[in-house]
Amino acid sequence: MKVLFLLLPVLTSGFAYDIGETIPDDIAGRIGMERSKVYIIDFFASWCGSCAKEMSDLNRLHERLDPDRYELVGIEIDKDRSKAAAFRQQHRIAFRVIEDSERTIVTAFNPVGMPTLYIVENGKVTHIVTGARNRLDRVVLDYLKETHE
Amino acid sequence: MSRPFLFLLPVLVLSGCSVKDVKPWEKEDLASPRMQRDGGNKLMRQYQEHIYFSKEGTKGGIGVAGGGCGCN
Repeated sequence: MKVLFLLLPVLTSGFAYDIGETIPDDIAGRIGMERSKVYIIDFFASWCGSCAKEMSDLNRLHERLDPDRYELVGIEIDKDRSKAAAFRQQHRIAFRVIEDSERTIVTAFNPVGMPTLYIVENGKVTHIVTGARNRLDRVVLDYLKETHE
Repeated sequence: MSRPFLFLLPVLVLSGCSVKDVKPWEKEDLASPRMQRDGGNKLMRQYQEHIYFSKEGTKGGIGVAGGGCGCN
């Protein structure tokens, strides 16, 4: 019984992937992750103003990444598919986007805000960028340069 | 009724009354312009701001900050 009381805060709180934590195989499978690549996973939505601002940076980042080593994946969490499609077209999103209208992936990651960007290597979260940043492409490239070169 | 159950009962009942926080990805409806005080009507907003400025001698501080980012 005591154990149940002690576990109550844990059971009632949300789980989120923090730095150093491993992404479960089912979620990794949904994203289509391979162990050989570093994944930059960005959560965005059409109704999120900050997400719209960073789209040009993400397109630029996608162009500059070595496709053999890195992949930028967008997780789109819109429920309204028509709005999501219009958003993609408007911002000419060039990178791979996964539709997460059922919110399975975003619920598993449980980010603290929108947008949030995760860098995942060997199935483990290595870096998290929360909120829109000025020149997000440079922020990510600088991090990758520091850690991989 | 067992004693542990009597302890657990209020916890379960009270937790049912607690307000669940809105997750950042659930703010789609909250981020809609219709959720603004003026319902997204620019003319109405300017009108209300004008009245507020005339009465209070100050302006600003109206509206909601942030563009969907739950970190604000």
